[in-house]
Amino acid sequence: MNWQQLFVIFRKELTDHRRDRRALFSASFGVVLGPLLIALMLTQIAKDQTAAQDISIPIAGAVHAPSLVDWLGQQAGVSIEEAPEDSEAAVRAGTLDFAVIVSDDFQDDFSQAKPAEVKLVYDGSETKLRAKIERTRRLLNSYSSTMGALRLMARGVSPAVAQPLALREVEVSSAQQRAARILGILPMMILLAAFGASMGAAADATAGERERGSLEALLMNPVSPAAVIGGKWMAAAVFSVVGSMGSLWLSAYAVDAIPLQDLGLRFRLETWQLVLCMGILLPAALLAPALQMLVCSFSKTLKEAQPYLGLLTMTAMAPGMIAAVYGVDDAPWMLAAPFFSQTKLLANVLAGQVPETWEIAFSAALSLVATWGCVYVISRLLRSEKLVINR
Amino acid sequence: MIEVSNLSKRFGETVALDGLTFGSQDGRITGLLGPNGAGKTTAMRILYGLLKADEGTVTIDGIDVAKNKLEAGRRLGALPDVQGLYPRLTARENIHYFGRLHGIAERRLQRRTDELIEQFAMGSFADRHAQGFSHGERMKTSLARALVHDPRNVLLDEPTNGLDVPSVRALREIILELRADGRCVIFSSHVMQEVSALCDDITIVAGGRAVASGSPDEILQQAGCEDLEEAFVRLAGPEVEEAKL
Repeated sequence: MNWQQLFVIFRKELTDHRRDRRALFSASFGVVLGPLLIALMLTQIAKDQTAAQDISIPIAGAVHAPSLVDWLGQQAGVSIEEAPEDSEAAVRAGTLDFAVIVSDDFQDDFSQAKPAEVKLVYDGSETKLRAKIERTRRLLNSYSSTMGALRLMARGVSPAVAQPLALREVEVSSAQQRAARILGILPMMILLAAFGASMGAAADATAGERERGSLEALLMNPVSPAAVIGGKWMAAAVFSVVGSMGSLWLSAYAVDAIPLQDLGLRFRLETWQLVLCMGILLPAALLAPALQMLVCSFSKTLKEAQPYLGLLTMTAMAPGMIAAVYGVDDAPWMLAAPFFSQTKLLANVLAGQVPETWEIAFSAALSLVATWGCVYVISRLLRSEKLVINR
Repeated sequence: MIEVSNLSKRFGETVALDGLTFGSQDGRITGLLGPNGAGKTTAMRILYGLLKADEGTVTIDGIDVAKNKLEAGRRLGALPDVQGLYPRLTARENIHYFGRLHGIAERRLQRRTDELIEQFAMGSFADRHAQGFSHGERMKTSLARALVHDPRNVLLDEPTNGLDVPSVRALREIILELRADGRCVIFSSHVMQEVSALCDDITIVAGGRAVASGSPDEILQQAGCEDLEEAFVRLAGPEVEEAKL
């Protein structure tokens, strides 16, 4: 191995890729996408949550249930507004968000201790209203059970008799962990940034070199295939490392800037956690371009390489996505799957836990061995006459 | 000095070279003349170490290419038939890249590059990206790139393909200069006129074998005719004859 040649190739590839505007553009798009998506989603959730704190409830037929309306109006952050007579139609038409409709018989039924009808009309597909509806429903239920208890007491019965179960919810996850669930897609977005950032460089260095016919000219020089592939891989890895680290840093910055306390969540990535994340991420960022180069080595043109690159990214992401959707418990075998192991470890760190040192080391070692394997196989391929001259 | 002896190469069922033998001396231009598919490019690729021969040897200044590819490579500059420049690098950067791969010291590399740019009249496009270069500009750049390490032996595989008349003339001049420097030049072509106008020695290749070798006069004698084109057709065999019809 000639290290000076490797360095010459590395430097040339960097210069070359840096001038590839189109590849640079799509690379930076992938880097920004994750942080942007997370920022938008969290901001939206925070906004909806704040909206539910102060809520104005449109009520139709308020005159039939003055005590209910008074009680509602006394609750913190609740105001009452008059809703039109045909509220149901208005909600259906979308001119009204939701409405509480008190039936005409309310007073009669109520005084006879019969269930008095109150309608809650809403469109369940409007996700941004969900928090408001939930709050309104809770308020109505609360009024109902308070009244029920009062009636029982008036009849000399303990309200506890009507409560066979004492359901108490105990939420054990820390605020940090709840934030992590929302931020669960972050590790995958960062891995995606790594793949996206090096894709152009990896494809150009292999399939692109064949397509242009420059590979033959390059190999005429007294160079060893190992130096050629090593230098090319290093250059592509610069992109994936910078891309993924940049994406991680941007995400941390974005999450920090969003008022998460409104969600009842406290989330902050301390510097040491950020460094730990970078350490976990690095081997994956090194493996991504090696795999991309391996896949592209079998293609004669950039166009031919494209679908393979897409498939590779999908395959690498699939376990993480399935786990994110269905929720998979941590199992030891997960550490043996490159990319998936990093997704898991990153998620743990984001949840405020610290993975065992051996877990990090094991995941890193496997990715590094795989990287070396890819670089080795591509250098062997470069000795194949068919690959070099068959364009 | 390049010696090729008894070179054979198969690709699966296809026989590309079948015992090709020829030699080329310093200070002389040797033409490899043959129809398309005669094995010229395969022979060139074995000469610069990209392919391995099934049988036979190639020596460059006495060094066996198969045994010591790196050392032989230092003494050889080649212009392959696909010239493959890096489109986002300038002509100068393309030349520098290959110079650095040869391990040329930085200051000497700068000087040598300036020299080549001057010699090949590349001043007007030396610092432009290779993306949009004309055929002639591409050819000059790849040739300068191949000569950056000042090799004693130069291989040109169909260098005139796709060139316009002024570029062909410029190339011819460059080749003559290379000979005047005392270099050993091998030049392959399927165009008879080009070879006869430039070459001191000619080897006619057909079916992966050398069917005739010698100076243009000797070739005429061997073929027993007055005209080189006639001689080429007669020596290269029936496939060329058919192609002519």
